[in-house]
Amino acid sequence: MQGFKSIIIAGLHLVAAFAFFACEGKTPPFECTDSIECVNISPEEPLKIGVLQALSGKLAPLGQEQIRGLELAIDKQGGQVLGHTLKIQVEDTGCTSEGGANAALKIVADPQVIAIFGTTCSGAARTAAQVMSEFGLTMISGNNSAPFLTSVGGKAAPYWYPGYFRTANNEENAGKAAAIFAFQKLGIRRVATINDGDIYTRGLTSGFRQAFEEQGGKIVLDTTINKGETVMYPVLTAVKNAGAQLLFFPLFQPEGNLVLLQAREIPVCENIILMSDGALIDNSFIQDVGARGKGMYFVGPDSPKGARVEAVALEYREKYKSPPGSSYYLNAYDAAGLLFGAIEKIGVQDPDGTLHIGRDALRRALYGTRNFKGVTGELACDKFGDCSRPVFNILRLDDPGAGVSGLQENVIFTYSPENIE
Amino acid sequence: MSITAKFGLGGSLFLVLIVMVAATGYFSLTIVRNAEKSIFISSEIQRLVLDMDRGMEKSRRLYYAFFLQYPFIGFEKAHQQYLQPAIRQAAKVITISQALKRKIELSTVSSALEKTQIDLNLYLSSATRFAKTSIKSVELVTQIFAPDRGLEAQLVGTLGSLEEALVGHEFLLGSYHEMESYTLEYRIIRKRFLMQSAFNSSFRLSQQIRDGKTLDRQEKEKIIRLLDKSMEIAKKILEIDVHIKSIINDFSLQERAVAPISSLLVQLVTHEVTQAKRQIASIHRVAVILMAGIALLGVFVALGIGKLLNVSITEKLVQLTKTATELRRGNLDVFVDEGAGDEIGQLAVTFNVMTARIKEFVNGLESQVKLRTNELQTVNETLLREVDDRIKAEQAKENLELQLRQAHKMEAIGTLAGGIAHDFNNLLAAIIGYADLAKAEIPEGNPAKLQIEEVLKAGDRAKNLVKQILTFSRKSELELVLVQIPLIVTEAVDFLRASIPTTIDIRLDIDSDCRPVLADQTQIYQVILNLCTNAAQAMENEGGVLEIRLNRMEITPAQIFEYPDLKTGFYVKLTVKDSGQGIEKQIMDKIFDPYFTTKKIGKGSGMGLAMVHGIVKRHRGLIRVSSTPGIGSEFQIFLPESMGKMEVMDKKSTPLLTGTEHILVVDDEPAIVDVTRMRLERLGYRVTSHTSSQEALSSFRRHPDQFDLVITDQTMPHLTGENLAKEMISIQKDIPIILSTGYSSKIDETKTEKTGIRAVLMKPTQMKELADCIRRVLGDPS
Repeated sequence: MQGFKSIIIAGLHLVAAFAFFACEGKTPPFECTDSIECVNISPEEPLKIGVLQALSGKLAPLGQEQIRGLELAIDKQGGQVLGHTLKIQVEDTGCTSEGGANAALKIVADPQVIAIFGTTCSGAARTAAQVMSEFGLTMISGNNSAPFLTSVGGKAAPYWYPGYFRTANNEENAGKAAAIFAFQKLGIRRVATINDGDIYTRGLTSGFRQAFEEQGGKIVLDTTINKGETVMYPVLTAVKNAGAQLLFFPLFQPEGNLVLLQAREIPVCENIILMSDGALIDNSFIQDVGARGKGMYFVGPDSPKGARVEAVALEYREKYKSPPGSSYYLNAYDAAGLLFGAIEKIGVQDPDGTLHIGRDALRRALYGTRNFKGVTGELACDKFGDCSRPVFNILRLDDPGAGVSGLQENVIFTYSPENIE
Repeated sequence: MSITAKFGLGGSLFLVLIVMVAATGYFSLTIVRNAEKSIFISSEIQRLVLDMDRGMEKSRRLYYAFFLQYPFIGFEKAHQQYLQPAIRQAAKVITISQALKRKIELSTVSSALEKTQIDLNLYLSSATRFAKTSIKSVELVTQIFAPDRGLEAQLVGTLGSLEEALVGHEFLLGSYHEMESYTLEYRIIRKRFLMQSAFNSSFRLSQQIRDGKTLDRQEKEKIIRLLDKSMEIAKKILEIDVHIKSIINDFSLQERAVAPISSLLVQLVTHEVTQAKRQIASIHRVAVILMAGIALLGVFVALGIGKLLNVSITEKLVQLTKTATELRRGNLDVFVDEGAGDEIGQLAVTFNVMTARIKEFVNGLESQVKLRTNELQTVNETLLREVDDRIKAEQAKENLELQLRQAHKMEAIGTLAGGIAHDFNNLLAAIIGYADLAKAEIPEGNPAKLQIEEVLKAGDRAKNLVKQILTFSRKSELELVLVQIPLIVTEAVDFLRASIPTTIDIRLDIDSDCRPVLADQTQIYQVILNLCTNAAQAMENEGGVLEIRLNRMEITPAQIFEYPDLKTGFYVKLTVKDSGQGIEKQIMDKIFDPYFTTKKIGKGSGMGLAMVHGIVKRHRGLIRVSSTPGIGSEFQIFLPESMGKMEVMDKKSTPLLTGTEHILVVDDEPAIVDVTRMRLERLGYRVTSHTSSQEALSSFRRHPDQFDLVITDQTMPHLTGENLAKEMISIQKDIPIILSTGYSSKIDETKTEKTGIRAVLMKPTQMKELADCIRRVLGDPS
């Protein structure tokens, strides 16, 4: 009898306790109103970010720089966003479009991934962005500069996909800057261009062509080499045959390296000026070509400067015990910062720590970015996802021993759209 | 605690153990079932994964086969044979991966397997991408390689036209061939720089054409157009080749992305299965340990219960058994310790009581056994006696049969002898009658008278002899009166003493209780004389003892088999016993035969014992003989006692009765008629005689009232005495008739009385007999 009573009393206590807690947690449960979907992250679960970079081949250093920039940004966050540990899933794109697509597929396979940080190469970005966009994700790159990814001439570019952002410059104006420099400063009238079929390189050569022809110059050869091609003599012969005074080859490594090196071996090319772009503004290239790169021109984005840049660079050096390969890690750093800021802005947190992130809300937050104080400058994203204000410099490699920093300091010409138009 | 309670306790403990075992088994089975389910699902997943992987692999192989085979079997055919199945396979893979995803989502699998959702998403999207890109690549390949309309075909065609146009211009043809060979080389190894070289050659060629002076303007334009067109096509080919390369690269990337997934899935699933199996194994182990533990516990419980039962039941039972064994051995002085008050204790008490009872009972039994043994002995003896009696009865039966045979034989002999004696008697009647008449005729002093007397003497002897034979054959007349046998015996013995030598000691032993017997005393006398004479003769030389005993005895119903022919009742038993030489066994059955004798010729007639036998039989008695050669013989005679009163016979001699009546005598023997007539006339009667019965009847019919008496022979031709008598009686009812007969078995007195015959006279008839008979028939009071 005694036992029975105690059971009843215990039961009553239990009911009372439930009632109490029920009153306490009166806040209504989270309701997802996002037009795409919401990612719900349990208290103990990490916040997942996919990372797509070129991690193999000659461009691996660029990909690595991007990841370092990201890591520095994460460090700045203390490894967390809204109380959730940041977890990155790194996939290699191989700097190819198909690599981008496949790597993106790997990322989007996990429905808990909120955003993609990447890519290195614009070619990979084209396919990755398509995949990512279809799955409702957000992607931001600190390295893509191909105009086709966002907009060309103020209009949506062919490979623009919603949810794609970048802090790297739209190099729509890089080719323009190079063409103007070649035509106006170097007095060049006949130019040969070589691309590798990649949207990045094609974007640059076509930008160059457009601007150069506008200036009154002539593109005597606009040709393509394949990625992975090693024999450059025929194309260089064609360049010579075309009677080009300048060869604009905005290629990646190793094709860029091979063009330079083989051009230096062919006597007919002795008088042709060689010009490349930001993809080769890298220590690895300089080290590879060495003295044979002397006199070569580069068109590249203006490298950011200032106390904050120095501070981040210091962190870089401390963390990785080496100097940064280029300044693109800063774009990466800003891209990550932009992304984290947007997440923090739209993330809905339950009292228990569950985090709800609306996919469309995240995109809208990023599109609405204005006056973001990045290390590379004040960032504001337009409706196509371009978040930086491009300023391009023409650099000349005079002292390969000075490396990238030496190269970047050797600014021959600066082009800023506002300045021109 | 009672035994029931102990058993109850033991049973309950075992029940608890059984329940424990059942529970263990149930939980083990539940876990095993879940594990099996997991194995089943895992196997299913594994199957799907492998199917998916195989499908993907097959699709890829088909795809590559397309590229390898189309140059040989033709584009269309390769498309149909390889590409289309490749795409179908990819579609199948997509379906499988979707199914797999659902399967993993729905089933309760491990978290590790749940995480593979991501991989499966990738697999699914990769497969989708594979399908898409392969379709795209086919489009591209078709653009280049499609027969007739493909870019390569176009290039070849254009180059052919170009070559045609350049025919005759050796200088230009050299450059053209250089270009063509680069193109060809590119088409084989697909290195872009080769095409670039072809472009360079074409650049040179176009310059040569422009500079050339052998061509007119129109020709130049045509050739340049062709050249530009071919270079245009070549550029397109280059572009598409890049695409194709990219797609092929895409495929390998897809493969690389997907390959670890299937192996990971298989690994996970295998792990799952291993895990489940391990779980089963561990559950099995735990269950075995648990069950073994319970079993061990069960053993201890069993031992405990066993010990308890042993102490409280078995040991007591053993003690009880021992006591019972003692009891069985006969030790009745045993006692069981009654111990605790449980069922066994009660049993012990009962047992002790029982032992006491048994003891009591056994003691009583011993005396009873003694009693019964004695009774048994008595019964046994009785039985032995009965058996003995039975044996004796058997022997008696044998004797009886012997006696029966003897009797039959005697009967036969008697009949024969009787017949002879009758005839003989008639003859003697004539002899004696005539001799009597002759003697009367012969005067005194005549020697003939002496001779006739001799004839009469011989006749008398013969008559005696015939009488003896008739006595034996029981044909003689019996004069049955109540006779005191002892008197006759005494008289006979007195008579015998004179003739028996003194060497023979005669011992007479007469029982005074003997009652009279209805008998013919003469014949009884004869019997005693014959027996005693035989006995005396048997002891003639050596002497001995002649014992004559007379006693009264009763033959009971039980004894009638011993005494054939005798009825039950009281008998006078006469025993004549000698100590002579005895009778040889082989002649024993002949001693009663007439004319059988062992005596010398002239010493015995051989009729003695035959007569005795006949007399005894006629008196409804029995004669028995027992003899042992060398020791003696014993004859026993049994005569039935009469119930009537003693009639004292007066045996005084009387004179011949005479009369004067008229008597008719009828006999077919003239001699007998003569003798009878003479005898009757001597007695004073008037006689009319006839030798023919018919004559006599007619004579009687004529004068029936003339005759006072008729004496007729029985055996006559034509009309027997009996019939004659009937006739006569019918004529005159009260006519007295005497039937005279030698021998006739047909006549007996009762019968003759019926027919009206007053008396029957046996031939030969004595004078006195005849005289007495006539007077009696004629109603004389004498």
